[in-house]
Order: sequence, then C-alpha cells, then structure tokens
Amino acid sequence: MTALAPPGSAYGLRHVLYPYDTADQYLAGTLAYIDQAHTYGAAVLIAVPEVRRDLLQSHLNGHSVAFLDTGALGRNPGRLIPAWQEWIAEHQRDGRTVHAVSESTWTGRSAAELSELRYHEWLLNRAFAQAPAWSLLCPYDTSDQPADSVQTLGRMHQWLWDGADCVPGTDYDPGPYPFEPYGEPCDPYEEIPYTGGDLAALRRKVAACAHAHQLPRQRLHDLQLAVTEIAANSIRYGGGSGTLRIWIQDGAMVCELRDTGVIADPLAGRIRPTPAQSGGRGLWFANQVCDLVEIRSNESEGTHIRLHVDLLHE
Amino acid sequence: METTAFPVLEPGEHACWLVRTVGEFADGAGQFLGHGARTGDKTLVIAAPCAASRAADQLSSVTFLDPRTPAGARDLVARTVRQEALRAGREGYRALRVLAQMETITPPGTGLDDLVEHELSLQDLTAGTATSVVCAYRQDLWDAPLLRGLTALHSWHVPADEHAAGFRMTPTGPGCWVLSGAVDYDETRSFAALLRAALARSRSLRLDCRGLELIDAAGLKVLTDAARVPGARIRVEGVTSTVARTWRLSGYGDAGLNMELLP
Repeated sequence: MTALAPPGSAYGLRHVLYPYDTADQYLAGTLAYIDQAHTYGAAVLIAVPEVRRDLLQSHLNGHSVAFLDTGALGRNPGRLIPAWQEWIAEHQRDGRTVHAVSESTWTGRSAAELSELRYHEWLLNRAFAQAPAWSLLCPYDTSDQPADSVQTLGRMHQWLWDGADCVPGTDYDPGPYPFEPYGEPCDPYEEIPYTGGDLAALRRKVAACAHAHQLPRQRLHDLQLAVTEIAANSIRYGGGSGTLRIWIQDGAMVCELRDTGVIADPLAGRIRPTPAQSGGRGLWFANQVCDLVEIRSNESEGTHIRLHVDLLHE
Repeated sequence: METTAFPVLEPGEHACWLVRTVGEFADGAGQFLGHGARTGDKTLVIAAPCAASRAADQLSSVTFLDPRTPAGARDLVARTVRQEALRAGREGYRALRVLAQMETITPPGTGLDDLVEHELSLQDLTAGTATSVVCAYRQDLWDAPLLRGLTALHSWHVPADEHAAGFRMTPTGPGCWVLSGAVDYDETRSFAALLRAALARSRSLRLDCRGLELIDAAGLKVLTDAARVPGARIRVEGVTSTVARTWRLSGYGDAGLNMELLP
C-alpha cells in the first residue's frame, strides 16, 4: 500500500515526512495530500507558518480545511503535543478520521530549539501510540538545511510523502531517542546549590540575574515559577537537593537545574494534567511558561533540565 | 551576646520573636518594657523569672505572669490578658502590649496544628482591640521548620529575614484572611495547617490574595485539598494575573470544587 489510505490500525499516528525544496513542490505535494484526505472523507487540520497558510488558502479551491492558530503556543515545542491532542479530539468527535498538516519553522532557531523540535517529532509517535488513528504530514523545506537533515528527521517519521504517494520511510528508528549532549553553560554563570527551604532564595537569585539583563517583569514571574517547580521536584523526587546554574545564551536567560533523580516518562510535562490528578504539574507549568524546556535524564547522570526565557519576549 | 531590635509594635499587632539565646530574651524583654513605658502602654510579660521580670516588679505599668507550668496556662493567659486589657483601658493607658515566652504557655514538642490553634486564640485577643502580642519562641527549644511555619500568621517577626515563612496568612474577620507572599513546596506544611485551622473556624473562607505573588503546584494542591473538605467553600479574591494563569494551567478549575477565583 502506498496511497494515503485512512490509517489501517485503529490506533496510532501515521507520521509522514514531506521533504521539498521549492514553493511549487510544496504547494503541489501538500494540495495532493489534502485532496486525498478529502477523498477519504477526513477532517483536514492545518498548522503552518503564516506565509504557507496564505499560499495554501489561495489554492484550496473550496476544499474545507481548518487552519489552526499556533501563534498562541509560542516557540516551545513542548506545548505542541497537548495542543494536537485537543485539536484531534475536537475534530474526531463526530467519528471522522483526521488528516493534518504541520510545518515547523526550522530556520533562525538556536541549536537548543532545533534539538527540541527534532525530539518533539519523535515524541509525537509515542504520544499518540494508543490514541485513535490519525495522519500527520510534516512538510520540510530542505533548501536551506544541511544535507543530512532529511535523514535525521526520517528517524522520527515512519512514512515519506513523495508528493503524490505515501511510502515507508527507510530511516525510521522508534528509539531509544539519541539525545544530543548539552553544550557547556556560557560564561559567566552562577552556580547555586539548593535543598529544602531554599526555594525563596532561588527565586531571589533568578530575580537578581533577570534584573541585570532587563528581563520583563511578567517573564521573570514565569521563570521564577518554573524554577520553583523544578527545584521542588529535585527536593521531592531527585535526591532532596540539586544545583541551579544561570546564564545568558542566544538572547535567552537559561536556568539549569540538576539533581540525581530520573524522569522515566519521556512525555512528562507534555500532557495536560487532568483536574483530578494530584501531581505531575511542575514540568507542565514549566513548559507552558518558558520559551524552551530541555530535559536530559538517565540513571547514570540524573536529571538536567534547562529552562529558557527569551530576554526580549513580551 | 545576641541582641534584638524590635520594630515599633502597633496596637492590635500579633508579632513573632525567634529568640536565639536565654540572654537575648532577657535583653529583649527589657527593651520591650522600655518601649511600653515610652509609648504609654500597659505591659504584660508572661515568662519565667528573669532580670526583666524583676525589673517589672518595680513598675506599676507592668504586670508579670509566670504560669509555672504549661498545663492550664492557655486559659490562665487568656483570662489574664482580657483582665489586663480592661484595666489598661480603665487606667487610661494607650494600649496593652503582651510579651509571651511561649515555652511557659505551651510545651515544646507541641504539634503544628495545636500551635496554630493556640496562636489563633492569641490572635483573637488582639482582633479589634488595642492589645498587641509578641510571641517569643526560643530557637533551641522548637523545631526550625515549625517555627518557620508559625511566622506566617504573625504580622511581623524578628529577626527579619531568618527562619521566616515566604508567605503570610492572617485573619481579618470571621472567615476572612489575607494571604500574601509566595506559597511554594517549602511552605505546604504550614499552609495546610493554617487552612485546616481556618476551616475549623469557618467552612466558608474568603482569601484576599492581592498580595499573593506566587503559588506553585504544591501550594495549589493544598488549596484544592482544603476545598475538598466536606462543607468547605473557598472564595479567592484579588488574584494577580500570574496567580490566575497558574490556576488556569493547573486544570483545577474543572475539578468541580466549591472554590472560585476572582480578580
């Protein structure tokens, strides 16, 4: 089977990578995907940058699609999975299958953001493994990207879209995910050990650094909340103590919190907590208020979490 | 020797003094008497005998009370404070100020809930009156996290930045409280104890949160657990945009609790 039939399994994500290098190719291939989706009676959801949205809108020829507003989500890929969960649930209510298009912006982003975007693509497979089946096309502009980037992204996509048909991807690797190692903190940085009773002191340290770099007040509150949550997790679950490091990098204030605990669930902080859920809100808050959250966690090195808040973001 | 510089004690205030040494208490009690004499207040010192109490015997404006043993001391203290407040009014004093050496009223080792209840009964003696109370806790006799929690329900404490809770929760009327500062995981034990005490007095609570700068997931959990107490109804007023956002993100708003947040 090569055509984009409705997903054969009742569960799981059909995750399709579409590498392209011209606007014409983008338009032709994406419209072909939408055409096929409509043939199968699927609901079509589109989450793309504004320039792509305008291009698609002018060529849809009356096809009914829903454009999703991703602007409110900001740049943090950690907010995308819960957003997709809500969008998909909303459009699957009437029993229709969902075929979606999602294009991330891969240019003008820091190495840390690109790394998290790639990880997000891998996590999508896991997040929807037990969910009702749906299909997601990920157009990827190769024209200004490294030559090996398609292969890298191919690891996270089981399928490739060739512009007309869906074919199995040859680079797909379900895991474990090969995390890229963190870079060193930028100098100068502050390092503050903490344990129970130190949360207020940590917030004061964050405030002092934020004031020195003119971080807007609301963003300081965001960062203080995130640091409080992650440090509290260290105290509760991460061996009772940890270390905070603060520095400025790529136009953002970065707070790194390290402890000896292990976060076993790769989706921690990316699933909206239920009202009845008693815990599990700390990382969720961090993802919702920070511009980027990076997590590295394993048995040998413990957990290192980096919280980024853009200095110029209002 | 450690010394304490007391802030001005206004009528109706309920303050906390975390005493580092026995000598510091004696010195501070002397200061307390001196302040009272200068401001025209009547003074009640509840303490074991010390230099200050001996000096107090010489002053007509000062009453000294040694409960001898904490057993039954709470009732004795409450009676005495009320009597002295009435006397102060009759005799033309501006106010009554009380210094209580807490180990003489309640034994060290008392649990947080019991201490909170006791503190609230002292607070009741000041509410709507010209009586002010300073609760002196010796740091070598009491558990440090417990003392930290207790500072939350006092209008101020000395030393200023030592062993202090990051938040304040003080009563302003029946079922009405002001909650300010930051409630985080470090504060959950004392925050929960204060909410339990507040709900024991009134199942309907109004929390004025205009000064609440931050509440984290652990603090929200404590607040929502309180709202799950049978019959509890909690109205959270004056929330800042930061707190409102945290609440919205938490999802607790859809938990069907008898609790509302208002700007």
